[in-house]
Amino acid sequence: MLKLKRIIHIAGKEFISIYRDKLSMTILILLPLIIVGILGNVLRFELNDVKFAVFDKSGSSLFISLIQELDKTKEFSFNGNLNHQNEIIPAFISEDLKFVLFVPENFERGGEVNVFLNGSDLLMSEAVMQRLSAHFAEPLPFEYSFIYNEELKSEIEILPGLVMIALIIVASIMLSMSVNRERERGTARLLIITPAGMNEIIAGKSIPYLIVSIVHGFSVYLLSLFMFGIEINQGVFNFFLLTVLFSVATMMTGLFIAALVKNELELLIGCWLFIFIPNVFFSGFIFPLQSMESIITPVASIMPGRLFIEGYKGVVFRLTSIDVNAKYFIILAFQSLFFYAVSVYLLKRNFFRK
Amino acid sequence: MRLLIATIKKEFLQLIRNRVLLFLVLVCPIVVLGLIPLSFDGEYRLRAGFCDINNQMQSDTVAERVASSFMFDRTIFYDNIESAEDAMERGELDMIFVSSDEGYNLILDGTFPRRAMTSLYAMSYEMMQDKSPGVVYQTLFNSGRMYKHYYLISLVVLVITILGAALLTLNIVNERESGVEEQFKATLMERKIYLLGKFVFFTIFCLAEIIICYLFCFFVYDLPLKGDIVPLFLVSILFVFDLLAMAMFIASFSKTQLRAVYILTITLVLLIMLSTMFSHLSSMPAWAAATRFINPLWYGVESSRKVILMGATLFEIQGLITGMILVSFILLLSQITIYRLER
Repeated sequence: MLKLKRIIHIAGKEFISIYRDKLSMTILILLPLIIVGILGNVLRFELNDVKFAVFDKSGSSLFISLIQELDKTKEFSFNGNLNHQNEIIPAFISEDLKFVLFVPENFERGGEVNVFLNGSDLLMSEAVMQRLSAHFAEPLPFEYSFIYNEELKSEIEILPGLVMIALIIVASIMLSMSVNRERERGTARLLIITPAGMNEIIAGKSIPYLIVSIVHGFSVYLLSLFMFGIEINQGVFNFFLLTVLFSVATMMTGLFIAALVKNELELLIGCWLFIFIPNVFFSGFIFPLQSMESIITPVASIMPGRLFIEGYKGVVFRLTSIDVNAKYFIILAFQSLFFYAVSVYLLKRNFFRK
Repeated sequence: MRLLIATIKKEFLQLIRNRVLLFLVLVCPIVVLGLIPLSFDGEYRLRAGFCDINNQMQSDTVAERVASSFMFDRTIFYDNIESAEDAMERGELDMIFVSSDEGYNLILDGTFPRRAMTSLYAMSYEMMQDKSPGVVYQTLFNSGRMYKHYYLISLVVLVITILGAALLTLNIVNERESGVEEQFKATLMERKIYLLGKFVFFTIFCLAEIIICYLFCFFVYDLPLKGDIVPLFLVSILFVFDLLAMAMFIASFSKTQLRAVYILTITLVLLIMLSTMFSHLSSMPAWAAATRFINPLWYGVESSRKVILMGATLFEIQGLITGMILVSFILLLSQITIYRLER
């Protein structure tokens, strides 16, 4: 049986050790705010001021007005004229151009305009092609509207991913570092002479970091509201439930890595390579789940990062009820239990060894 | 010189005698480069819902085109708009195409704006076919249309950044925290030799990792090297200098490993996200885009992409090379200043 009193004592010890290292505590508390606050205003995936140049052999006034139109848009920025065809490739390299418009001499007599795209970044060049096609095209044969984000604000796209990154870094590193330090410094051997068992030690150590994660959830909530104008309203309970479950799941994954490695260096590299990078790439933050190769989709769909982002979108943007999001909550809870059980099993074998 | 070689040998033995760490630094980059590229294959796989309100089957022709399109993965028909919206609420649809007496209406899921714009393009492409007559698109630098190549370079830089920065920073701070550095003060070895030995060893280590990573990319993903090997080697070595100088700088004011981990984490996250590894410079505000000039990761990504993917020569990337040298110089100068102040 777990003794609540012992857990509280260990939690108290952990609180004091966090509180006494003022610099680390400040970074710990501010980290999510810095990540979400700075990157939320900076990181965008939309096209904006994409540089292009023109090699015009026609001198057509019609085309000059078309360039002016393109330059006036938010997406494109005219970088200048090229005088010779040989200048096209070097201009892509040195001027960082994304496309070059080549206008033939017979443009006004029906000649085709060539658009040379920088294919080294194929996703960018396809996005440019889509926008240019829309610009050159006839009116669309249908009306269109956006649901859940009517103005198509780009911060809506990045915010769930940034919150996920902020929480995952802090949650996965905090608890695992604390456990690893006890072992690396040999203080774990002092714990062996206390009546506390491994479950009580882990539970006691987890509580302060869980509280820190809730504080992070609250600060991110306020930041989203005041900086980005995103109101959560009726989804507040679901949002905090999701934050807690996600933090616990990543904490337990971090604990699992701590149980496998010996020192803080291995732990840091392990957390970055096995928790941070996979969750960033397989969560749908950078690339949508549907664009992933089919072999990895089943794994990606149960990644904690993906569950958080989908849950966040449901709770905050789509305002879905708890039953729609229940699957994300259940999988996160199951992952927490699984990694907790495995970590405790491993730590029972190696925690008290230096 | 003898002491320098002895320090390098010490670092080497320290690394190979720790089997877990050796596994992490040698095998994991390959695992990361083997698995992470599965997260993007360039296909859209859009999911469209069709809703014919008046049952006049007006949308049938559109649906047929969409169903056979390479851009779409799934087309589902709904009896009423509410059930289609429920599916979108559950994240199962990217768009709903509604056909009624008043015409066609396309409802797009705005929670993923990039995908919403692609959905809009795909639907208009299928309905209008030749959307922009008189315009021909040609893709340069990537005739095989390989989506992964651009991000492979980002991944190589990312892996080297994590390994190089974490190893050097925590190596220095760990020895300081455990008192090993203090013991060295009682030997013939000067602190500058001690730090130089670490710097040289981790430079060699990072270059070896870069070679392993690129060989893996060349053989497994057919990553083409359009430029010469000399510019690639030069930009790689300058990137490693920048990165390790930054790592030493962080180590110089971190008293404990815990602090070093927090400072390193926050620094790396910001540098990675601002480095255009996964986003674009033009999308950032001017002040954020300007931070690239002091960001070692941006130099690493940008110069490697230009040499590998676009075949840039040394002359064409001279600006980047100058920037990399300046960043190394400033960081190492700061390091020396801190060292002298400590003395």
